[in-house]
Amino acid sequence: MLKKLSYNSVILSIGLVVAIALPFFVGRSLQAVAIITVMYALMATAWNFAGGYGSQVSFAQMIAFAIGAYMVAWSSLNSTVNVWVFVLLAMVLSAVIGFAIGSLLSQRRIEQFYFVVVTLALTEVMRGLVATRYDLGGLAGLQVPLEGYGLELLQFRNKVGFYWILLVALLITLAVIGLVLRRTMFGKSLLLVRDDRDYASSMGINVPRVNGLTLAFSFTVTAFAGAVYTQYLRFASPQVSLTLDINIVILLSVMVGGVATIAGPIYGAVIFIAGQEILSRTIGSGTNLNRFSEIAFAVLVLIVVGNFPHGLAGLQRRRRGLTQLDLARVDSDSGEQR
Amino acid sequence: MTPLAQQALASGLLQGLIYSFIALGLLLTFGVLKVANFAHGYFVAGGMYVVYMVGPSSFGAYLLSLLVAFAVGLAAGLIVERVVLEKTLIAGGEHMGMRTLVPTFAVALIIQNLLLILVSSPVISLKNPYPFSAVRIGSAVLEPSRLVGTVLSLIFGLAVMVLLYRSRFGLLVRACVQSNRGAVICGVNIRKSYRFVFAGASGLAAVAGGLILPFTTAPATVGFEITLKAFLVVIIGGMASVRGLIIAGIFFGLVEAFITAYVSGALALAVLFGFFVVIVLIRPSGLSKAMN
Repeated sequence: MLKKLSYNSVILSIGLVVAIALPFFVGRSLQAVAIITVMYALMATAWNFAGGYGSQVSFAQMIAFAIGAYMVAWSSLNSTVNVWVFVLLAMVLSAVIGFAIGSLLSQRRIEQFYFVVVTLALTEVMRGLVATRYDLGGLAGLQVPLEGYGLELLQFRNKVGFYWILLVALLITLAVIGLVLRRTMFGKSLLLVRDDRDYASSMGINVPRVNGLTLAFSFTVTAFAGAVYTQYLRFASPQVSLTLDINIVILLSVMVGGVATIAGPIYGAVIFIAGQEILSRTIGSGTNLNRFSEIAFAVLVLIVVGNFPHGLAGLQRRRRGLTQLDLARVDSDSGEQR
Repeated sequence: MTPLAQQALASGLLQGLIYSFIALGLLLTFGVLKVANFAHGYFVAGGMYVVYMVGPSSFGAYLLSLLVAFAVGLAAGLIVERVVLEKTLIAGGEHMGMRTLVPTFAVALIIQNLLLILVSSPVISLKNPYPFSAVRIGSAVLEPSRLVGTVLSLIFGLAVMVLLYRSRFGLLVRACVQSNRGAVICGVNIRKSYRFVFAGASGLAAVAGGLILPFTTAPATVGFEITLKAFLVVIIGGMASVRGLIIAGIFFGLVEAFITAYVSGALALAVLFGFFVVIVLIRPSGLSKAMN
């Protein structure tokens, strides 16, 4: 039987075609916008895995981002080993740290609002440590020297190269998340842990392990985004690579797009970045423009969160009644396996 | 005690009491509305900006500007509660702190950008509005603003406590802290309590901002740091008692002052937050219970 297509899959398919065609038709400035948009989409997708499908509303994402950023920046200054080695190293290190944070906090039952405050504090600790390290450039940050171009050096003469890399990473991440959620026991236990932790652990699920692995995956993807973004900017600093502002914007854009949906983080990133761009095109750029657009975005967040709890990607849900997630919730209530 | 230690002790104590005062509004909001208000520090920053914009040149004008800050904070708090939070609050349910997380962050974003639009200079400060200059206690030198700011925040804090524990209104508010449902059943107008508490907490936050401005050079993004510190004080204080809040505030002020004096000012925040994480890991219910 042919399954009825949801709006989201139609929009996402069209979006993918547009995303692939886009770099061939637009100018340099719009290409820059596209690169930032895809980076935000990638980070928002990673956040959504831990904070939407999982129960970890994380404000520690920038720790992983900074590990990626500083790893490639430091290596380009101090090492002749290929940059990709350091990208991989950053991803592994972030995974370990993500697992440690996720499982430790879960084991100590630091959840919900406490989790938010502790991860905020952890990011500030990391920021203070980086800002006082002179071999990492302190507050001034590190400049990445240009050694040449090519995929193997993760530098591109035509900046569109970064766009392709981030887009591929985004597609892989989406595929992995989709597969994990639909096809694995881990995906099912993830939702169960989020909805009812005590029930999950009584089913024999190792809750700290699930939470640790979830945050580890989220961190790994974020570290990659941080590494690529630093290569793109050729700059890393506490102000750029370790600012909580990015984490907050990601949280808000996931809420607008639709928390715990596949499409939501992408919608959110597109709306936030594209919104800023459209405003700057129509009103003309000025010093206060970003501020006005952030206010407009915050108002949009308030409207969407107040009226559509599943965000824009979840608009269809109201009509269709029960959804995948609601069903998972019903399962966890009645204790039946699906 | 060495002069450096005396200085750190005195300024840490004063700073700590001010932290407690800032956190008091947050504690009340959390106790009554069950809302984790991430915009709290931004209201403090708003108070700073109001006083800065009034630009008082005499002590009387300064007190007046504090009053203006209180009024602005009160009005802003009332609007935020009514427009942003009330629908969610009345609907009730579990995990109110998490469900109001995103709205309060959105409000914080709005406040911060409004302040940046209103005042273009990246850092604001205010020269000493008090009619006397530095005070010496032992070998510690205290700025007048720090000293009077602490005294004023103690007085305001005390006034809040009197209101809470010696008035009918305070009784109704404390009923809500114990149980919102029970308060409704007993005929408490819970919407009114919500509104008054949130608006009052925002007004007090703005006053606190006005009090700390004379001895702070604040960047526009200061709101976030204040929010985080206030949350840490509330959590370490045990989230329930004012006594715990004051102890936690002083503890925080002292730790910060001693690290700044003996290790490094740049590291002070990192060490402070690191301390907090360790404490929460060891004892999630806060320090005040550990002391009992």
